Amino acid sequence: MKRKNLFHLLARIALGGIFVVSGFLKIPSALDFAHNVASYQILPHAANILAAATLPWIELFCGLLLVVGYRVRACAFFTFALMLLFLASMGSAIWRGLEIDCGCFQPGKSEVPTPLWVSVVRDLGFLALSVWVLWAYRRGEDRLPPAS
Amino acid sequence: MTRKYLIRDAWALALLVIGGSACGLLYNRRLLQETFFSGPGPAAAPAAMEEGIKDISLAEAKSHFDRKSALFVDARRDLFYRQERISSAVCLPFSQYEKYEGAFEKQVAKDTAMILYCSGYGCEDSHQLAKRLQEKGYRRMAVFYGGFPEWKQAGYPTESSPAAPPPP
Repeated sequence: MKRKNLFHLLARIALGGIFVVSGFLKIPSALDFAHNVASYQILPHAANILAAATLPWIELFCGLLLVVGYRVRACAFFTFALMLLFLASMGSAIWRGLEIDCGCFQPGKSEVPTPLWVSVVRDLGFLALSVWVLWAYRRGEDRLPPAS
Repeated sequence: MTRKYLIRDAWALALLVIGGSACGLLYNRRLLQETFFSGPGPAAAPAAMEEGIKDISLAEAKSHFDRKSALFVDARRDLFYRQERISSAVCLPFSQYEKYEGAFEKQVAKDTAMILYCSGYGCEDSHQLAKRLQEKGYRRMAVFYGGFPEWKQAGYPTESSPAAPPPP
């Protein structure tokens, strides 16, 4: 395998792994995660619950597909769109001066909330990773090894 | 990208969202049932108990505050309580209930009129706390739904204590 392809592969697995972990951690505590979503004060109460119930599962499946390398382009696009959504939410929270926890990996658990800008920087990294994977697998059959 | 791949990827994306949502809805069916249909069934029991707890507005909360006719109970985490709270409120975070319940139950009589609040908007901690306190025998409770953000925005009295939160 070419070295470039190896990097593409690692990027894909890293992106998938992040989503698997993030989904897996949130699945058992949907209510806690709903509180995190609610703290952004964007959605109405019922929508917070609905998002908290479904999003972690979609993240988990998306991550698994990325790790195994099936339908990579679609999944990478999904992670890209989701990161944009998260960044917009956090940006708006910072803009409104909300001192809240991101709730990205540990729903409702943290004693001292992680500052939002830390989450923003981290998500910008994830966004870059998703763009990389999307670019690497942009053509043809998006299976292993990536089209070069 | 050819049209064929575009359609295929769109399908994959749709299936991912639909499949993931379906699993999530199925897995959390109990929670969703409680949220959207508080119909008959064992899950609905706490909702029926909550009938005695009413939501109050900012104006009502302020009126109680001025008349000192109710004890304000902060249901947010103690970290936020220390940062800033409604003046004279006591600390009883729903998420750290076990840590504070002893002191609270010792010092607050069961017939005390209380106004519970948290971070307003979608925050449900004050409602959850009300349910729990009701199970403990407290009866006179109201939830100030706008919570701390609305109070603060109105410019009403707040206080803060950088030290450890005082017991009620």
